[in-house]
Order: sequence, then C-alpha cells, then structure tokens
Amino acid sequence: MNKADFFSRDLLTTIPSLRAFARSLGASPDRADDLVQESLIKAWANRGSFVAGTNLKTWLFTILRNTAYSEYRKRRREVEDSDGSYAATLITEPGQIAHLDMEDFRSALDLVPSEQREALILVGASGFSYEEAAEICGCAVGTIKSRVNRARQRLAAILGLQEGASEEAKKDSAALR
Amino acid sequence: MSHDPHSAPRPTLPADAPPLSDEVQRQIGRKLRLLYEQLEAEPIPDRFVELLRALADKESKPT
Repeated sequence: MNKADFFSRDLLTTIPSLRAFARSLGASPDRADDLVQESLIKAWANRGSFVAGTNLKTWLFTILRNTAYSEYRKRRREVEDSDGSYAATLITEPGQIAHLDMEDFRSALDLVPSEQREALILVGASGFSYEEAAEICGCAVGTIKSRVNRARQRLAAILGLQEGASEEAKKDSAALR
Repeated sequence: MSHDPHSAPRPTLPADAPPLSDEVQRQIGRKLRLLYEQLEAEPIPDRFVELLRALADKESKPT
C-alpha cells in the first residue's frame, strides 16, 4: 500500500463515527451522508495540512463541523421556530422515567441548543476528551464543560428527569409546555 | 458567557445550578451512547467506499 492508500483506509475507519455525529446533530440520513461525503472530499484535498501522528478523528470532526455550520448559517432562518410548539408534544410526565423511549430522547436532544448538544455528543458519545472537543469546536475547555453541563440540565428538564435540579430548569421546562 | 440565541426570551440556567443526580446523569449518558452506537453500527454505504477508492486510485496513477 502506498501513502494514499493508507490515508484512504484511515478515512474509511472513521466514517461510522462521522455519520453518527452528523446524524446526532440533527441531520437527516441523506443530509448527514452528504455532509460526510463533502467532509471526506475536503479532507482528501487538504491532507497535506494534516499532521501525521496527530488525531485524524479530531481533524475530521473539525472539518465536518465546519462544513455543517457553514451550511447551517445559510439556513438558519428556516429552522429558527422549532423550540416552542414542537416541544409541547414531547414533554413526558415524571414517573415515565423508566420507560423513556429512544424516540423521545432523540426528539429531546433536538431541542437542546446546538452548541450545547454537540458538546454533549462529542464528550458523552463520540469518545473525545474535553480538550479534544474544545479543539473541534474552536473554543475554550471551560466553555465545553459548561455547555455539557447545560445540555444535561436542559435534557433533564425537557424529559422531566429534573428531580432535584434547579428551579430555573423547571421553569425552563414549564416554558416549553 | 452564553452565545445561545434561543436563551434570550427565557430564563437561562444559572451557572451554579445544582448538579443533576448521579442517576439522572447515568440515564442521560446511557441513552446518548445507545443512540450513538445504533447510528455507528450502520454499515458504511458503498458510495463512501467507492469515493475513497476513486480518490486513492487517482493519486497512485500518474496523469
């Protein structure tokens, strides 16, 4: 195998995680795959700037995130309204905790502000450290920690899991009803 | 501190909000990983295998 083959093989192994990341950010399956494809092409074109020995997965996630956000900025106005009426259909009563369904969880995740959601996913599911997540998002480590906490609080509030959580979070949940 | 455009009309979560219970954190973590693992378990579509093969082939063959 030559150098290009190795690079291509390494890209291939990160595809499942890249797709999962794109999907869990809220992209539809088709759009997620378009994002992944675009990211792979960009990664290939810019592979000269990848520093061998550093984390390829972190580098690719950064590319995918930048690609997703530059498209998102173009569409922002269309998606702005999602918070209120949609949320009202998703609230579960306390006591349903044990039966918390994956669909409900996914819908609740969609309601978490995108910066908080991506921080939670990167750290809680993609397997990145706080430091790596900060590198991917281009922000400080403390910002990532704060976003992860806020994402958890928000999810707990939306899903009615907030026993013992702050009064503010409960008000936030009530505001969604 | 927050750049969240959605937070303006509602009360924002205070930075010193009491931490969620361990059980709630565990539940959220478990669901999140499960969701992610389900997505990750999907087979890689052929289009990506073909794309990468085409890119690598183009590279190895002199023009």
